[in-house]
Amino acid sequence: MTSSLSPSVVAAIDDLELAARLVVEGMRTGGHRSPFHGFSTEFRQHRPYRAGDDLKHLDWKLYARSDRLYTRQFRETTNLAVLLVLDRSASMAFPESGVSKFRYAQVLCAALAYLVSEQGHAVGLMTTEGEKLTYIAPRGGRVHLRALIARIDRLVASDGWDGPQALARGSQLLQRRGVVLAVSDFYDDEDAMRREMRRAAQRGHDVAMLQIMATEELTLPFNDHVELEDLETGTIRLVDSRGAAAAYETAIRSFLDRCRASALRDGVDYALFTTSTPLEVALRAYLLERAARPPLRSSARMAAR
Amino acid sequence: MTWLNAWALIGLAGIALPVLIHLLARGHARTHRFPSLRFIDASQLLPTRRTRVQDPLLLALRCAIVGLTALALAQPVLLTARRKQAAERGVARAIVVDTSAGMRRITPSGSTAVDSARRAARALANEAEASILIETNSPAQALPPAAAWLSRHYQRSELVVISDFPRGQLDSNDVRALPADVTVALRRVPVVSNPVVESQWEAGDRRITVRTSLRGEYTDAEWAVTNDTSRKRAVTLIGADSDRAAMNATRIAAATTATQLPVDSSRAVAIVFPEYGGRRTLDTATHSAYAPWMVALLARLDAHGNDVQRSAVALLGNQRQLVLFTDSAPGSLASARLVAAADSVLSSARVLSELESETLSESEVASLERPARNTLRSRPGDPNGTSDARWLWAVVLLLLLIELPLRRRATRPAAPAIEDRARAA
Repeated sequence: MTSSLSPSVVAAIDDLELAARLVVEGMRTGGHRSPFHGFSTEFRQHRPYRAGDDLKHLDWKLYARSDRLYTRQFRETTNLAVLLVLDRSASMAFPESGVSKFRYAQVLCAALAYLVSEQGHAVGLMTTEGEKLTYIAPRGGRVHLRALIARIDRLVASDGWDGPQALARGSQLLQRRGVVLAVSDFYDDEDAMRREMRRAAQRGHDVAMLQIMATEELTLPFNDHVELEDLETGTIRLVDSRGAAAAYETAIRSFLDRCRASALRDGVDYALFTTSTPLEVALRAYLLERAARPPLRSSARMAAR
Repeated sequence: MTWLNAWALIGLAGIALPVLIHLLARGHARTHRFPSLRFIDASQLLPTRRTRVQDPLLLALRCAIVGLTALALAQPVLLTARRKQAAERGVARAIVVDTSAGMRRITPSGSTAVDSARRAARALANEAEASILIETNSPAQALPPAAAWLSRHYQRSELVVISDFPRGQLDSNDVRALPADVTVALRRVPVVSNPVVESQWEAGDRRITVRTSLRGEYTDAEWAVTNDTSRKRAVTLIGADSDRAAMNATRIAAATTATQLPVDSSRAVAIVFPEYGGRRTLDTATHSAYAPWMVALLARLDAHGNDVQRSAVALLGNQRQLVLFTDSAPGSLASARLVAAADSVLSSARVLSELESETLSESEVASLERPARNTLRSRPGDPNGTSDARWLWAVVLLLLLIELPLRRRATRPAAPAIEDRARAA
């Protein structure tokens, strides 16, 4: 078994694709089957040949035995469309030294894209650049993957993120039912975000809420009176961190509990990633958990030719 | 409670040091960028920045460490009953007993004041570990040698003066000149305010006794003259046997010329008349070591034109005497005047008014006293003396041990407990 790559090492790799590959390769050490349901072409039944059927589907062995022409019919799944919704709000830029939540999220998205693409699925991206929503439609192929990862790499955490809108728009733009992976700290309007999550799930998408939290923000890591500047609003407050630490810890714990509870209630997948956890370890744990349970809203569809 | 090194208590001012450091070191709050303030309670906003104590427990602990260290350096001594007793035994006491004329008066108990003072002095001497008793008719002059004696002892120094404290005998300058660590106690000997003092002296063959009694604004003097030939005379008349009657007449004549006062028995004068047979022998046996009073007498005789041929100092009858060789015949007026002059210079009596001199009031005596300062000198070879500082040092050590984890807690970042829980979940 290989040792885990620490988040700081992964984040230090400039080439996001390489980082993603390292994460995925590290993750595969345990060996498991694809966590994304829907991709397979398995035999289902025979039916008599009709004129116009593709000759490559003719079962020649059966013809040799029975002297009758039969066409093989497959249970076929379409390519799964996976949409990564990446939060690039300013709060994701925390902490400013070390591995930020946004860098962690970038590597996570790239690794997921790599993984999904390698398994033959289509992967796309929904995020914002400035005030505008940026949508890259899910597609397969290595060229698309590289372009997608390069795009993710160029993103910078800053203002102008509307999480619920990005999620709503992304789930709308997915033309068929697919997987929506929202990667964020979810410091948005909780009700609006929850509403959009539920709506996306109701559309038939397999929605997952991948919450990224920095280790440093789980507690108030200060001992003194500090002025805290809100990364998103720019508000500055003088805080007695020692006095406020207990209340803060309780509040953030309750926030995380709320996120998890609402996700489970709405049939949304949930996973918490902390920046101190090696990414491949966290990703493997999440994917194993996901693979172990039946698909929530199956993206697999039967299609007979 | 007393302190062996009270100067170290100045160190208590050092308590302000941790407080100042705490307030100054805090300075301005640093600004940190944080993802979201939505989870921070608005009530945690601080009204002021510089006056609020951030960690009162740690601050109090540090102040206590500084304060207790200062107290320990001051070497406190808890004065228990046993220690007080031991400290009392450890007194070096110099006792000065006033023997001046005023102390001849009677105390209410009937004894003279000087006897009463001596008894008190002996009792005080017995209480002390080391003591010295000095009797003097001038206590002020005895104080410096007494202080010098005290300085040679390591015990607590106490100087006791026992007197009736006549005005002018002892003043604040005398006390101020003593070393600062010497305790000064003044014990007044009570005397009855209506004393009867008896003074005696002789004139020729007569003993004159005067009893003086103070009666408010005036003095009663009761004179009694008796014949007394048994007493040794201070002025010896030396002459030929044939002149004995004349010499006796000279003595009587001299006694009538001046009021005689008590005689200083240490002084003696011999007057040698011309007809004395052993005059030449006596002349050769003399030497010229004059006492000051002898010089004074000769000066006075010269001033009055007495015909003293020569003078000398000789040992007569085991007593060192001023020998005056005169040419005046015994029985002459000149010889009587010479005897009278010798008589007067031999007098040691003081004026009667001194007997009832004005004494210092109680408040004045109290102001001259220097109270005990409860300072115990460390005994040589025992650096800690009897100090209880070791207990304070133990407490300081304990507080330092408590302070260490508190300081670490104050500087350590908060543990990411939630992350662990989240991971566990």
